[in-house]
Amino acid sequence: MDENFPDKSEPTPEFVQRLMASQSAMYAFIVSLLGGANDADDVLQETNMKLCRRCSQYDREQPFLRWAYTFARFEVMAYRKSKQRSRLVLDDELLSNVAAELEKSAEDADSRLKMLERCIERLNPRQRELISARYGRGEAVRDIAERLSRPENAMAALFYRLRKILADCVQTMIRKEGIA
Amino acid sequence: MKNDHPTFEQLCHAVLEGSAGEAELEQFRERLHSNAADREAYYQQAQIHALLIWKNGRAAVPESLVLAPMDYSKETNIIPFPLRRTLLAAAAAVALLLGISFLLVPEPEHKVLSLAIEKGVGVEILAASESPYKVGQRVMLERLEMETGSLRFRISSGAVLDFEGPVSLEFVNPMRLRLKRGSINTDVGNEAKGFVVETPTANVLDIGTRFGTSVCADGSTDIAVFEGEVQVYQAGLPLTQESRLASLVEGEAARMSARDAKLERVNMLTLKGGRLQVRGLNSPDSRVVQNVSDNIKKANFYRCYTITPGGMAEGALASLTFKAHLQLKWHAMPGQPFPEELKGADLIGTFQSFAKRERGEPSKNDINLDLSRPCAVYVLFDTRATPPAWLQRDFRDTGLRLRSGPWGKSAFEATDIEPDSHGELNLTHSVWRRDVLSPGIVNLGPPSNPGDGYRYAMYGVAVKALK
Repeated sequence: MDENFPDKSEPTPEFVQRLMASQSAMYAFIVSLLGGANDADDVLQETNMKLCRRCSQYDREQPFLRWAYTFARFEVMAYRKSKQRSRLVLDDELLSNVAAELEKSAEDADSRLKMLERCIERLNPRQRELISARYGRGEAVRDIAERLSRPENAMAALFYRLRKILADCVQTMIRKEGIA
Repeated sequence: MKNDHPTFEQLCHAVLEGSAGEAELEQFRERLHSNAADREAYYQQAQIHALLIWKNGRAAVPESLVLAPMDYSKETNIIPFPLRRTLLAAAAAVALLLGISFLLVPEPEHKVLSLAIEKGVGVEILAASESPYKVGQRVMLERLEMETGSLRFRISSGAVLDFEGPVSLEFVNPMRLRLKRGSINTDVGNEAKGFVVETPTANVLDIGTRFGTSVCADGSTDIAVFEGEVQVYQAGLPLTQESRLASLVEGEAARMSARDAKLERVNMLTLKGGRLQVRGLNSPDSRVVQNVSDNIKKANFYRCYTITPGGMAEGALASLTFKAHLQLKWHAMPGQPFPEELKGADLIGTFQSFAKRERGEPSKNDINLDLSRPCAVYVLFDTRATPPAWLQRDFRDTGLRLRSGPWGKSAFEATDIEPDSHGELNLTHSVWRRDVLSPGIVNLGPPSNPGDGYRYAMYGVAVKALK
């Protein structure tokens, strides 16, 4: 992946389509390695640029996402170099572990978003409202807790459980539908 | 949320929310190193957190971008479909993925981008008034100068532009135009996310769906987001993190001034039927309201008021859309006509976060109306709430009632009301009136008394000249 020698090929429509279909999974991969969503957009954008510049290296018979993850991991590491080490969430060993773990499930990653949408529909109205407030309207958890007169810790725990419910639901769907 | 022995749930939550301190990060790393179950839990939490953010439109690049945004008739003088369609779409997608800046400075290895357009862009006329173009006509446009009339067309990228004269613009490619003067509304739908409007003072990248851009005579730029999100960048620079000035979401507006190149909040925008009007050019000025402002002083706060001169009527837009509030409009009560007294009043759109508590304290926000002549000021107050002292003291309840709606099912302001016979959530507002007999500033206070909580709809405002 030598930046000084990008290949001369153009991304084909098929390549672009695969790239776009993989965006949510790549974003989730990057957020997991960064330990949060701050700057994940920028790292994703950089990854996309590198993938387009290296499009001719992609073997269309191979899983696209696994190939793309390699670039994303590289970009996360480049981003980390530009940050003070004290501000990094994961150390190098943990980053390597997390990346390896997520790469194992690369095949089903780009279908997770659709499954997540179905799982959200299965939440009860109160749970959906909380998800909508935090992720749809972008309210801070602290503000939601205040609005509902709940302790912030309790609200944090509630969001943790909601994400767990959704993760379990997605996992169950993947198993049932035989994607993994 | 700091304590000496946080649970893994608390640590993980703080990490994902970006609020973890150094000590918490250290504890978090220790937990991940020592416990495989915690590592597994972290993968799950981070993945779902990221997908929920993605699902709600942050930096989303939709698959639909690679599909055909529109079709063209054979007689148009452009590259035939499906080749053109595929290439254009791919170009648009790649342009978006490459950060758009390659369109400004094309690189030799990305030849596909040069296919975007050679002589103008193809547009389909959707509506026209006092214009040489006819509805349904497909034309190539490189630039457009229009002093009067209105035009609405769809660009080949899928973006729909809507404007009134005077306006002056030119196309760079189907995903980028330069607005030199006037005001345009852009609706990119799902097909042209990444559309860019360049002005003399700013570049506006649309990552949402509908926004207005207005360039004044001095070159300063107003940007208002009606739906979705836009990012504002410094003019003349590639669209990078360094040149990005702000992200604006629906209901927010900002002005990039030509004088000092600073982005500042716009307090008030003029609308005409939901369309942004440019200051000093085609703005139908209010005869009574010179300005609307408030005492909110917060960094990166861009919520704006709207004024629709003479716009109060059945179905009038009550507020710029904001997520769960959908298209909030004013309606007569069921089975009743719209109150004559209110018809034709200047309608001021307020925003819900005005009523929001700040750090546990009830809102202390004030609205100031700068009035230029004697008029009646109306406050449309959620009937479920207790009218604050200033409202009871300075205004009188006219006995009239209006409804606002439809509210989104997840809007917290409407959580305890039942849907009407159409399944819609509507709120009832009492209409309070104060006659102001001389020009000057009228102050409207917060929607609740000091110390009281407030979880109802923000009040609306209308102003009508006294005869």
